[in-house]
Formats: sequence, structure tokens, C-alpha cells
Amino acid sequence: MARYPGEMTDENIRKIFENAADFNYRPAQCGKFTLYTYAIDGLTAGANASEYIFRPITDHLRAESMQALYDAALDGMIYNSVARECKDLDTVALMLVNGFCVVLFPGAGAIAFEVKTPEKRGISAPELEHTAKGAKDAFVETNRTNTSLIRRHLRTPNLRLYETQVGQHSITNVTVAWIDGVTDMELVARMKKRLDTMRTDGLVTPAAVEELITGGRSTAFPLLQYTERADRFCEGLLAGRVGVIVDGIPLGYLAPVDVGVLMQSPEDWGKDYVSASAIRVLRYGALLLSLLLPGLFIAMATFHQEMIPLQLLRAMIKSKESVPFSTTLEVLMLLLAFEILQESGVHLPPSIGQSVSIIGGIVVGTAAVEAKFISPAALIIVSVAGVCGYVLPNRDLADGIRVWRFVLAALSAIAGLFGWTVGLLLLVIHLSSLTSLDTPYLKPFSAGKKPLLLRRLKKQR
Amino acid sequence: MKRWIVYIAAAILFAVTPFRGTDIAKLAPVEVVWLTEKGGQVYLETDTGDMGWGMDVRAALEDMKAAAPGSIFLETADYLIVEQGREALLEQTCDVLRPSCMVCTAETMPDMEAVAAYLAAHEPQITLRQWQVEHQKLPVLRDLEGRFELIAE
Repeated sequence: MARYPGEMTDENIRKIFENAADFNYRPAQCGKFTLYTYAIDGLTAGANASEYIFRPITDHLRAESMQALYDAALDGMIYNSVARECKDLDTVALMLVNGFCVVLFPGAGAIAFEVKTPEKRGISAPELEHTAKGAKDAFVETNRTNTSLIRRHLRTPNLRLYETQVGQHSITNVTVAWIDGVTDMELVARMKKRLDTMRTDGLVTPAAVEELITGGRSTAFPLLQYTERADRFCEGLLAGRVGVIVDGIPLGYLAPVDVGVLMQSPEDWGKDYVSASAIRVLRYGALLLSLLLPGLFIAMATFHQEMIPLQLLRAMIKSKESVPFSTTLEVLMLLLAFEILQESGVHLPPSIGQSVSIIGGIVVGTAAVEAKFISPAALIIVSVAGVCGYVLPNRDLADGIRVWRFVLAALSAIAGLFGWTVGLLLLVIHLSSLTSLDTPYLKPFSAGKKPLLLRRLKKQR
Repeated sequence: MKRWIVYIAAAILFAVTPFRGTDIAKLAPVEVVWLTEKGGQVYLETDTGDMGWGMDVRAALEDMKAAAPGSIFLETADYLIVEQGREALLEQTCDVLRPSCMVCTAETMPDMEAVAAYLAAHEPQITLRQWQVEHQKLPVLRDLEGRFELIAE
């Protein structure tokens, strides 16, 4: 359905951008005919528009009829590398918001010429995904720059880029990338279908992109992999995955994902097989510690003290003398404090964030132990779990683990190791029922289906 | 709706389950237990300094728990020293202490803190379970003016 119905007239075009201060409109005399030009200030380069549109129109473009003028302009009389015919008002509006200058030939049609402003952020080194040996070009906010980065890494002509617009108001350019002959076309079709059936006002934040592309998700775990590195994105494409680039977001998204993929770090590709494998094993260990340790500690300290070696038990009891809170409360409070500290660090500039981390983590932590507010054992456990969380290469996965860490800690506080095990089982069931682009999240251990009981319950509803 | 019923049922189940934890801070972990009989009553003392009297081991234990400032934790008890000649009392301890608890005899009650360190280095080789099954002769702990000696007979 057309967004802007009606005839392609000067009046209707101006009506679309009514009260838009940055909308530029100018009639241009071409012999005995009057043409109309439109552009959006800031998106187009004025000098280029003057040189490559207005000058040819006024100096060279001559014909006996408006239709002949239109045809001549389209055939190259207005010398511009990109000239696109606009068949309706929707196309005119789309071209204008994408930095084109539209020339209206009343009664004949309209042509959009590309005179985009060169103002955009340059390609810089990755800020989050550092590597010692890898490439130093990261994605930027401009879609075309990002696709060019991909092309520079993957020179194959088989690289396919499908572009579409998403968002009722944001009209965001979204590009789906894949390699013909490498990627399963079923995955590409699924991704295209999701984008084409997406109904949203805007697609301007990473959270919106992830939420909308993966569907209404009720999980804390990421179902899309994001990366700011063009080389990593291309690795994903070479592995047969589908890539998505969203205009305005300096990230590339890859689907499908599974836990194994999310545990890979870009640094792995710059190391030898043995070192990379050893570090990856270490990373899995950190994942387990980060997820399980607080809950296990609560369970053991509250319900199963016989599992703690006597010397350690004695040391722990001694350290808890005069501490007014139970172990459960201590751990939960510390986990909460850790999250608050982390959240405060995210919203502050790096220099202040570091100071807050030092004050909050070291000074307050030490003072709290000395003041017998918390026991050293609880502080160590929460710190170890927190630090292990930072080892995970994917922040979204780490966030999911953070949420489930609380769940396991709470269940352990209620029922000890029984609760901890129940929580772990729930997590495994949850993960095994997740899919990313219809591919199981725990591949190859799960088929991505819910347990039979849950499926039956769902069927009955 | 049914999903919510399942969730609520699970939450209720969790809330009513008879899991009762004891915080680690309240525990008094025992490593060595001294067992004897005085005046027809069973007497228990631990390296934590707690003691209890009773008609049998279980009653003595209850008495000790009632009088202790913390929660007596016998799961960590590694050594049981029974007074020589009172080995019959061991039968009563089998369902109170861990089967892997090591057993020896002594003529008199040793310094409990000092003997714990000694036994950790020179473990009696018979566990409560082994004694229960085979009724082996227990090693004897001798207190030689502050020095200990464990003699397997």
C-alpha cells in the first residue's frame, strides 16, 4: 500500500515535507520549461548539487517537450553517476531521505540524482572486540560504507546483498548479506521473510533490531550474534551464516547462532589451534563458574556443609563471626551490588567509570569486610563469578548468564543443591528449546524443541 | 493460562518443600569426639568444647546439642576416641556419626585440640563401618606426658 498516494506533482511533493526546516525546494529554468528540484539540507552536498545538477540543467539541457527533456536527463545530459527514475511519491520521498536530489519534470516524471554529503564517521579500529593480530576496521553507522567493508574482505562476486526498508517512520535501510553457494538459501529466505513481514515504527536501536529480527523473544540469551568487526562478519558469512547490516547501527548481525558460536572470540582466529582450543576450554570453565558458583556456594554453606573440607569450613565459620547477615543474604546482596556497580560503570565516561569501579569494588569491598558487614568468602565467590563473566566474548550471552545466576542463587537459597539442580535443569530445558532462525541453540545436542510435556500443554491451550 | 498454573504450582511446591538450611555461621564443626560412660551415663565431649550426658549416645548427643552455643555439626567428625573397655558403646554411634569416621581407644580423655592435629597426621586405620562389620581390635592412643602415640594391637 502506498504511503503517499496521489499524483507526482510539485504541490504533493512539498506537502510530504511540509514544515520540515531542512527541506530545500528550488525551481530551475530550463529553456522555456520550469523544472523543480528538491533536496534535504545536510543529507546532500550543496556544491555537488550545483555542479552536477543545476549547471547541466541550465547550461546544456534543451529539448522541445517536457518528455524529451526527461529522456535526455535520464540518458546522461545531466551528468551524474547515479540517476534513478521515480515512479511515485513514495519513491521520491525515499530518495530524498537517502540523500538524493530529486528533479521533477512536471507531467513527465521525476529523476533522483545522488549527491550525498560526504560527512560521515570514518572507519576506525574496533572498540569492543580488540585483537592483537586481526584487522583494524570496524563497522560504522553508514550502511553503504559497511557493505563496502564487507566487499573489501570478501572479493567474491558471489556475495549477495539484498536491501529493504524497515520501519514505518524510521524507513531504515537494512541489508541482508550472504554468499551464494555457501549459505543455505532456506536461511536466507527465512531472514528475508522476517524483514519483509516486520511491522514497526522504527528500527533505530540495537535492541529493537535483535528483538524484531528474532521475533518476540522471552529469553535473556542472544539469538543473534553481533559484531563490530568486518572480518568477523565475513568469517560468519564464509561459515554459511546470514548477515544483516542496519543503517545507523555500527554493528553487523549474524544468524543463526548457537552457544558454541557465541563462545568464540575474534582472537581465536589469530592463534594457533592448540592455544586457541586451550583458551576456549578455559572460557567454558569461566562460563560455568560465573553461572554456578554463587548458587553452589549458597547451597553448600546453608544446606550441605558436609561437602566443605573441615579446614575450609572452620575458616569460613571464623570469617563469618560477627557478620550479621546470613550467607544467602550476603551473596544475593553482593550480586546486586556488583550489578549496580557494573551498571554505573556503563553509563559513566571511561575515566570516571574506572574510579567508580575502584572505589566501589576495592575500597567499599575491603571496608565492608573489615567492618564485618560481609564475610571474605562471600566477597571472593561473587568477585570470582563476576570476573569469570567478563571472560565471555559475547556481552549478550554474559548478560543472560547474569540473569540465570540470580535464579540459581535464589533456588539454592530455597532448597540447596536440589533447588540448584532444578534451576540447572530448567536452564537446560530453556536453552534446548531456543532456536535462532529455526536452528537449535544447543546444536548438536538438541533439536530445538520444548520438552514433550510443555509442547502438550501448549497444544491444549 | 495452563502455563501459569504450572508456574504457580511449581512455586508453591518449592515454598512448602521441607528444606531447612542452617547457616554456616551457626555451625560448630566437630572433628574429634570423646566417648565414655560415667556413673551409668554416656558422656560425650568434642574438640569444640561441648559436652553432653545421657542414658545412651543419642540422649547424650541431644543434651550436648541443647547446651551448645551453636549448632553441633557432626558430619565433619573424622575421629572417634572411645574409652578403653567401653567399646560396646560404639554400636550406638553407628547411626550418629559418619561410617568413615576413624576409631581408636584411649585410657583417659586426651587434650582434644592437640589430639586432632596428631590424628590428622597419624590416622587410625579402622573406620566405624569396618569396626561394625569386622569387630577388629581398635588401635590405642597413648598420652605420654603431652606426646601421643597410636599403637595398633
